[in-house]
Amino acid sequence: MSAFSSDLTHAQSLPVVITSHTSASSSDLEREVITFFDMYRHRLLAYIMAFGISGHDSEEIVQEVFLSLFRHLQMGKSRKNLHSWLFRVAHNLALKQRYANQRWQNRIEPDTLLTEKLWDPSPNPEEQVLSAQRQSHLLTVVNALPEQDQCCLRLRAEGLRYRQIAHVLGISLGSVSMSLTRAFSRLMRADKR
Amino acid sequence: MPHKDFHPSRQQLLSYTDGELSSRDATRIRSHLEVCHECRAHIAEIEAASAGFQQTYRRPDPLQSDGSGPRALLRARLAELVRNSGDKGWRRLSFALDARGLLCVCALGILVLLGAQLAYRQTARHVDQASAFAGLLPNPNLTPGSTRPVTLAYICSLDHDQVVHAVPGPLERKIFKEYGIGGVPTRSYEVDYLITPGLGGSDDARNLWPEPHYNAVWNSYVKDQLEDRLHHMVCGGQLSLDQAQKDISHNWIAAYKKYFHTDRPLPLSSSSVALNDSAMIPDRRWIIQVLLGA
Repeated sequence: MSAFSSDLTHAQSLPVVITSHTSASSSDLEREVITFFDMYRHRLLAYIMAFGISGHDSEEIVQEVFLSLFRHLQMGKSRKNLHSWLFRVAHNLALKQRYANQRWQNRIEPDTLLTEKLWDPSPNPEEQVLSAQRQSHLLTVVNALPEQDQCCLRLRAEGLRYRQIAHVLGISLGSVSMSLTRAFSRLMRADKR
Repeated sequence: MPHKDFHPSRQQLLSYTDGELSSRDATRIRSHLEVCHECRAHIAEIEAASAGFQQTYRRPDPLQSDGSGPRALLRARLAELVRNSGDKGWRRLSFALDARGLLCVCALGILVLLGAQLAYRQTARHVDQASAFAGLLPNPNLTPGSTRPVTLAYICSLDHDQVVHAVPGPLERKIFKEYGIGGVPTRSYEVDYLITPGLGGSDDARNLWPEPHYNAVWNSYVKDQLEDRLHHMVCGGQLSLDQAQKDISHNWIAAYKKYFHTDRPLPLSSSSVALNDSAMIPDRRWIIQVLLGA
């Protein structure tokens, strides 16, 4: 059965898509991008808004992410790890927007967005209050973390592996591990209080 | 023999919880956890902190919108992007319509017309054959599946990028041709491994086939999820490599339904969470059993 032996550790990643420029393929791409939009919009919004960016601006950034995805696929670029690719583009656009917002002093504090919308499935009102307090405290702890640690934590919550997080943030694998360790140390100390 | 004197660092314990360690390091830590209550307790704290943050982070849509408006806006922008790409092409062409340009365009046009007739005949045959192989499962005569000799330790040392990775371009074209799509490749297909390299699949053509990409329910993205799940189950000792290879090569859709306990593909986000909760880190369930004294 075995016909070929390859050293996968040295395998090169090559584009999966074969380039084509017919009008029919453009409509295929549009449908594909919309499918990704439906899958990832909510998650990207949550990630972008955590940078302290308003809802309106965050929606615009999400639109830009998927327009970039369309161009990326249209040029026949790699489809590998589109999951982390989307977060990488969103991350860079969010940083750019936040910088622009800071210049125009148009920033919304993240707590005002998050604390209003905290939700708990527990039907017990007292438990809901306690849960909301705990979550609010956790959020305060998270927002006090260095930005890199916050980003690593959120990307981990989005299901990205350490290598993918490193790719999104442009840092080393070791830095991801250290950031998460620091972040978890603070979260665990906060939980004990 | 478990080593009680060896205490992994907090960084190592977190990496272990997240399934980021090599199988050798993970085995060493697992052995240590059997005899170290302190480290088991720390793992439990990590789990609790992770769950607490996850609950905080996974809040409802902060804008409380169903996305229909943004989706419609994106559709309109994509349509405009496509139109602008076409308009720009037309403007570039119009600049070339001077005398010399016109002559070149006419000569090109004649060549295109001559070639189009030949291409049409080829395309009709390819489209007919392509539709025959638009199936969600490979042709068993062309793609029975094949493996290469690997050890469990080796495949479990591979990271996600190596478990699910791309097929080289020349090999892709060969597969398209074998399936009768050669010469007219489309974006609707992705040449995929039947048995992924992460489960010992080979790069042989007998292990490759053009799989519908996005426009089918059971597409290549769904198969990627199955490959990831099976890889983690094999490396976690929940499934033998032979069984994983057999299930995925015989009927990968049936295998997905079996291992994800569903009749339809799960949304990517929920299947990823399910993976994190159950199969990605099988050691986590083992740890919980140890903590509960099961």
